[in-house]
Formats: sequence, C-alpha cells, structure tokens
Amino acid sequence: MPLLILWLGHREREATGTSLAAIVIIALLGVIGHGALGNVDLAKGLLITPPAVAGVVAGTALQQRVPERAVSAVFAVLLVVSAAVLVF
Amino acid sequence: MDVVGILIVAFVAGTLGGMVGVGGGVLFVPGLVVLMDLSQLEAEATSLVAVVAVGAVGAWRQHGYGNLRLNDALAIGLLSPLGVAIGVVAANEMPERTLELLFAALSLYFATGLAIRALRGPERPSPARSPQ
Repeated sequence: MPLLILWLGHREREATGTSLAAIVIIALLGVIGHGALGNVDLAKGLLITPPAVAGVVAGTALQQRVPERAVSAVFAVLLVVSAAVLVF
Repeated sequence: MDVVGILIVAFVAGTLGGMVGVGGGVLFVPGLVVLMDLSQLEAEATSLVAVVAVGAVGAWRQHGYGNLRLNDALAIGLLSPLGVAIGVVAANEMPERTLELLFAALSLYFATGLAIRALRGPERPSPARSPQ
C-alpha cells in the first residue's frame, strides 16, 4: 500500500483497493502451498472468515467517509507499531 | 479456546483491512495463536483463508466505489511470489535479528513517507477553473 502511494502515484483509496486485490492472489497461493503441507486448520479459518468479511465491508464503507490523508496517517501508525514490536 | 474473542478479533482485523488495504493477518495471526491454541506456523497458514476472503470482498467493495486499478493489482499479485521466492532464499542466509531490524527499518521508511503526506494536509483540488 505505501509502495502504491509513494512510488506509483495512487491516491489512498485506490491504493487500498488495489492492494486488497493483489492480496487475494498472494494469499490464495499461500493457502494452496500451506494447505498442501497440512498447515491450514480449515475449520478455524472458516470460523474467522464471516466476521472478517463483515469487518472489511464496514471498514471500506467507513474509509469512504474519512479524508484520504487520514488513511495514510493510520497506516503510518500501524507501520511504526509493527516496527517497534520487531525491534523490542 | 475463546470463540467469542476470536470472532471479535476477526471483525476488528477485517475493519482494519478495509480501512488501510491490508489482509488483516497482522491481527488474525496473534489472535489464532493466543485464542485458538494454534502454533505460529498453523496460525499464519490458517489466517490466509480469511485473508483471501477479506481481499476479495474488500477489492469488490472498493471497485464499487471506483477505487480499484486492476492492472496494477494483477502485476503486484503475480510478481510478488517471485519476490517472495528470492526473499526466502536471502532471508535464510542472514541472522533472524538482522532480518527483524531490516524489516523495522523498511517499515519506518514507509511510515515517514506516509506521515509527511498526511501532515501536508488535504490534497489541493486540481487547478481551479474560474467560473465562466
């Protein structure tokens, strides 16, 4: 998502939409690979899917109502937290 | 096992995914480890099931809002696995701590770029046309 915005000149909402579509392909390959190795607990995966899908519908709707720059700010915070978790 | 807890975590992860365009694995994985007694590896693999659905529904919703560039998405989605393969080989060659610090540095680099962008305030509307 930062790559799309900072390097490819996407606006925030476009970057999130495009990023989600790319994630489908990547995650699908991951599920197939991990599934073949027996690492996927399908029942638990399907348990978390409905609330997660409800969440993403709510999240995208909410995103249309906040300024695009706020999306960048939220993502920047997310990156800093994730970097801190890795370092400490 | 805490079923109610994981359902709440999954909803929050999906909401975050929709807000910022991520799959939600950043919350699914710790949630599955802590609340569903999965190992880290199983949790990462299992979270991908929900990530596929979050990505598909999120992209479909954003498409409806006119916010999807399908060609860029296909290019990234198909080129990433190539990058992943190269990354896996490189990652196996370096100490775990180096890898963590490199990833943290990359995250901070992107965070800085996005923060500068956010702080510059709302984008100016395209050059104003004076009323005719």
